[in-house]
Amino acid sequence: MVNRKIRVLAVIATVGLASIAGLIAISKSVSAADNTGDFSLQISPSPLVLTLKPGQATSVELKVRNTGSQTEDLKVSPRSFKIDDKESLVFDDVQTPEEAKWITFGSPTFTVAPGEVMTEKVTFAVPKDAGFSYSFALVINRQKNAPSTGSGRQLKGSVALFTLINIDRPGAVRKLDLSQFTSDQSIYEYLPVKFDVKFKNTGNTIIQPSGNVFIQRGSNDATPISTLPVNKANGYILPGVTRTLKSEWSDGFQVAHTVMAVDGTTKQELSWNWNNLSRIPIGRYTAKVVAIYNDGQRDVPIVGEVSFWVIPWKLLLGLLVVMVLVGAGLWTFIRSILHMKKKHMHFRS
Amino acid sequence: MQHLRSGLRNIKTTRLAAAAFLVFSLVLPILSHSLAYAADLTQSSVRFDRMQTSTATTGTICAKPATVATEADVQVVFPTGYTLGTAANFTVNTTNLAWPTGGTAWPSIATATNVTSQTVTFPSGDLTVGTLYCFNWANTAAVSIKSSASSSNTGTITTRTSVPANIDTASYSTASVTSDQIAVSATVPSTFSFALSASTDALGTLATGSVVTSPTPRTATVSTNAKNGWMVWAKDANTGLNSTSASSTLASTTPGTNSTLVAGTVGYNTGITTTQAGGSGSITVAAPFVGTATGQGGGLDTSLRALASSNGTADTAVMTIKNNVAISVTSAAASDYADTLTIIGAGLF
Repeated sequence: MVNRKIRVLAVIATVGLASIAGLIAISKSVSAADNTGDFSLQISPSPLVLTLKPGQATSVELKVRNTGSQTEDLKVSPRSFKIDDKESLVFDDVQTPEEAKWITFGSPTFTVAPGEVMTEKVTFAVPKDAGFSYSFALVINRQKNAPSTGSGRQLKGSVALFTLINIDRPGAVRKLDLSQFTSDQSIYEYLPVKFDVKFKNTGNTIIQPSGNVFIQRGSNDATPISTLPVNKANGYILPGVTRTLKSEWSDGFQVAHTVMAVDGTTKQELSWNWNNLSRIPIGRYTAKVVAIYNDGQRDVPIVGEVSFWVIPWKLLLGLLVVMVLVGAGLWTFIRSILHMKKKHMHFRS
Repeated sequence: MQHLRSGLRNIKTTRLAAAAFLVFSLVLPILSHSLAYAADLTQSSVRFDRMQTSTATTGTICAKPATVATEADVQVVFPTGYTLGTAANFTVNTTNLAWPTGGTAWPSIATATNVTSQTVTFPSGDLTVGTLYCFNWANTAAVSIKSSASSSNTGTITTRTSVPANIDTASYSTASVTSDQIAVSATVPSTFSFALSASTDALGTLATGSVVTSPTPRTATVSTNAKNGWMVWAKDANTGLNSTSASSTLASTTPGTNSTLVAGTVGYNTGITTTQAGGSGSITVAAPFVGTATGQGGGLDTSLRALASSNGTADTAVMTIKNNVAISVTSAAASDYADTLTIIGAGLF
């Protein structure tokens, strides 16, 4: 009798526990299926830049941190992008790139709790007959989004990680041309002078140029007035792509600055740098760009020049007015002295 | 008469002396030129494998003789400021390392015998006029680039006889830049954070009398240390607000262009405004999606379109996404007008 009671109690307990476990599992699966609320991720590194060898598999770690307030069930997948003729990045979150077939993920789908970091192992098994460079994006987004309810918009967030791969193999050509080197105006009243350095990657590998824009009076001056960086942000140029890098000469006496308001709107403000009073830009200048890239053996320089004028006409006009006023004052003063002297002499005679 | 003759003689002597002086003064510079200066080398170059300031480098020296003579050595004057090692550091080889076209091995070239100030003397064999000879200095301890960047650092190459007397000479120019290769630091990883404030944007009940804008506009927030900035794209699954029950779509207004909706006329667009707490980048809202005015924005379709971008680092760059909609008196009544907006953020390269 007692045994029977114990058996019944054991069955009830088992069923109860199973039910609770089932409910937990169901509630968990619901949460996994329908991510709602905010979406907040941090990824590192970004971008992912690699040099790989053909016929070899290389693994890298990608850190994904959930900076949101809820557990996220995520997936990662390669997607295509290209840079068009207008230097715009055209992103395609549907198209899978050709190289996806030799990319594998340690966890193509994964779950990250709030505040946690997931380390995703990405393996690139580069085929022996691989090309010279590849560029694509790894897109991380929710496995499932909550179904739309009622009227309005459903928002789906994704984070993309641009991945640039150079293949270290014979036949790789690193070649960069300077397509254009221009200033935004030919005559300026004050700084900044803005330069566009347009490069075209005519090789088959991804290139990261560097160098300087030298501001000088003549083309062959040994000591520049100012030295500006080319590609300060360490940008990359993909094969066959043209990219315009910007440099700006702004260490003068009068400099216009772009000021951004809290609401995001911008306006120009003129500032006066009294430390540069002795270096008021005036006259004709030559900007000489010496950009370099490494061809695998050595630095290869590319040189271009552009001339421009800086005429601070308002400053000069103000100076002229001051000089005229001082001159007129002096002249009046001298004349009055002469007049008094003449009167004095006349009085004495 | 004698006085007259004497006078004439004196005049003649004076004239002769003057003529001699004139001839001498004309010929002397020519003579002195030919005595003091050698002929120009037909072609010459000094190529530095690295051009970054304060960097040790190897390099290549090439010269094409113009004068028939027996060369015994070649003197290379390196630009002022370049740091030179001892003569023993200037070891050489004649491996063709992408020499200029026509370059052949410099005969009997050997380790430098003397370094005085900026002048390095290398022993040389006899050279043939019209042949371009090259050699490399192979030890980075030999030359270090000057510490300042300059577009014009000049030096000379001179071939000499065993006397020694100069045979041919030519000057060359090179540049030094502040950075030629990008150092990758492992201490601060590059990160990109992207957050959407919510996954839905309910627009509420629409009316013909007004343009409805998101009551609580959602935000996309970017923080990154990526120097090249970031970009955010978006697309709309239905190219408008779609009602399944009414089989009706409030179509996106002219995707790709900026528009301002008018009450009573069907329209649907997305306007973006931005703020930023800090960072080096300036945010640019893509022209079609500027949304500063009420009802202003751009239509979205099924292609990813750039909403906004920045050209530098960002600390809490916030894009406020305002969805605007207007209906007409003939718009089909329904309570399920909905669509899905995909928003992707990425750090640029």
